[in-house]
Amino acid sequence: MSALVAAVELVAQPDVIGTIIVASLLGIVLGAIPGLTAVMGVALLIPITYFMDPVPAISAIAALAAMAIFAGDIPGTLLRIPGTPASAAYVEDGYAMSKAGRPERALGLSMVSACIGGVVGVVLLMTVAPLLARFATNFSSVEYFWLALLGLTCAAIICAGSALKGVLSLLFGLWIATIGIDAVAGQPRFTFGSIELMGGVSFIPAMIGMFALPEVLKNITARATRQEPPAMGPIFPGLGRALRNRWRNLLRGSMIGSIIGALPGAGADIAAWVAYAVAKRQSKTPEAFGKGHDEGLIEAGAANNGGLSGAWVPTLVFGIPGDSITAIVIGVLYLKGLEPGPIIFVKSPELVYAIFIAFLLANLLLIPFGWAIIKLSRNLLRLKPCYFAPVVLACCIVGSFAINNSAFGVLTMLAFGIVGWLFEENDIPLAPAILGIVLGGMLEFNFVTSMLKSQGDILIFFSRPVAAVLGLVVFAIWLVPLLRHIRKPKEIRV
Amino acid sequence: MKINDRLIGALAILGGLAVIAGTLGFREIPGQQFGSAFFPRLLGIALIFCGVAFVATAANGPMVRVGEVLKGRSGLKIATVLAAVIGWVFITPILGFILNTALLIAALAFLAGGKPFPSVATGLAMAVLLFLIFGQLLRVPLPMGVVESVLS
Repeated sequence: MSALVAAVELVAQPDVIGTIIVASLLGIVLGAIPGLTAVMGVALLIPITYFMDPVPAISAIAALAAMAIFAGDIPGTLLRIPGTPASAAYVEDGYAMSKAGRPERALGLSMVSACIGGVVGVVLLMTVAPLLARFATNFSSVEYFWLALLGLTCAAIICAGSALKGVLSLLFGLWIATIGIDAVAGQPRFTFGSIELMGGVSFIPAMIGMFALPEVLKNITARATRQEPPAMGPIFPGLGRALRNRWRNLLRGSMIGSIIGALPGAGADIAAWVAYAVAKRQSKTPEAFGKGHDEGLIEAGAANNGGLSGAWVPTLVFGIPGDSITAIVIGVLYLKGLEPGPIIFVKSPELVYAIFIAFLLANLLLIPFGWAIIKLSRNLLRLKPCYFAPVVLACCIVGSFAINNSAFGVLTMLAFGIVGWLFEENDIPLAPAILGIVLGGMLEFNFVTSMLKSQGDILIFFSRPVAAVLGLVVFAIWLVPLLRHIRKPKEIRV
Repeated sequence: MKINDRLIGALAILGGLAVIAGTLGFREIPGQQFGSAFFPRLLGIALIFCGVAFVATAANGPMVRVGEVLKGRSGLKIATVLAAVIGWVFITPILGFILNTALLIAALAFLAGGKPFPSVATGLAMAVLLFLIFGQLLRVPLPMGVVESVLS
């Protein structure tokens, strides 16, 4: 209880509240601009949070992400261009409503669904995370090894379009994580004589490059299309009744989103797609989906923000990211000297509760900020990529420079940006690489420590019941696509 | 730029071999069974297996297909963006942060199809804003450069 009071005091500080408001404004504007994603927004925010205390830093990330994920619905609804990948699941319904002259209804439903989904996700986070953390305090290096591998496996195999490409991305990230002085033996590895690489590849410039530079290149080469956003009517009239009629979708979407989001390696995008599919299957009018029906919009919209909150469960409890945004959060926590995992619940419970409260606050702010951005959206959507793309590039440059006050960070950002662009061009997912960079050190440390403890006996990884179960789950996830590939007829494979 | 899976596989195999070769020079710690080379070697082997799987499952087709985005004016824009980043690194110590960042934004905005005045205005306004956020608020020692030092 005292931790909760301390957390409220931490969040109630004017600088924290101010940071949440500024980050929320930034998130809602970035998300509403087509081509600028929530992950990119978070990546650009990190250099600023680098100079903050842990609570405002993490609160800013949570607020920006929550706002940006909702705001991604705005260009999707008005122009049929999903602002973030998570909005893609129900873009057809929103756009059809907009074409039918009711854009304010589509966006109003999205806004309230996102708020409720996010709040349900935070409630789940607040109840489940401390319980799981208590259970996880007995984990040893073996369980942590499997947990890290489970998170990486989920990201690479389940969530990527092609399992093989996901694995390649992951291996690239893991190799990057080995660069620098080895923590165990003090051996410089793959530094090519560079003093800057002795401390390893700087995570923030690498992440900014991979997530933001490809977006800059896409936007700067985008052909200008003249599309006039439709006029907007009043948002709130009739919204309450519509949501009351669809309370089942709202609740189910929030739960599905929160649970899927909590799976390591999954995220809001997958949560939204699954929720949309479930809504369609359970609907009495599945034929209306994609034509301006509100069931899928409400259910997937709630799942979106629910998934975002749920992703923080494995992040805080095990130090295993739920999605790309929480992978960045883990990196930030390490930079702040805080090791995510069950111990953080014991050592700094007020910090964990402060994150919960900040998240709750950000989701509640969705209504006033969402209303404002919907009203302003016509003007925002007229912004041309030729003006904002160079500004994003300048933010990438100064953000990468600011971490070590060195041009090396800028060049790192550029190198990783080119890799990220090549990955995207060839449908190789970026998230496994980022997860590999973040978790590589932990995976290697726990693996080598366990092997040293057992003097090379690999059976140590199955010597404890929880470890054995986790290990079997990981093997099952690896084997399923392999077996599916073997059983597929050869002509289909080609 | 679409790269055929066969070439991606070959690059992964080469990468795996290079990683393993890179570990050969790592010094061993006496009495320690698993040293600095252990984990990277496993990664190298995994990369080789991954590369072989890519080669084995690849479809036929050209090794590299250069997309429309890399051709003509669009390709020029991409090359300019990449060159602009390198240019920023080398020119900022001379021009200073504000001037060089304003120049970078304005030039790229103009190249991407923006009108001259809004491009310059965006460049100047955003460069000053970034300077205020990072240079003043966060106290990042942004380079003043020779020109800005003289001007101030």
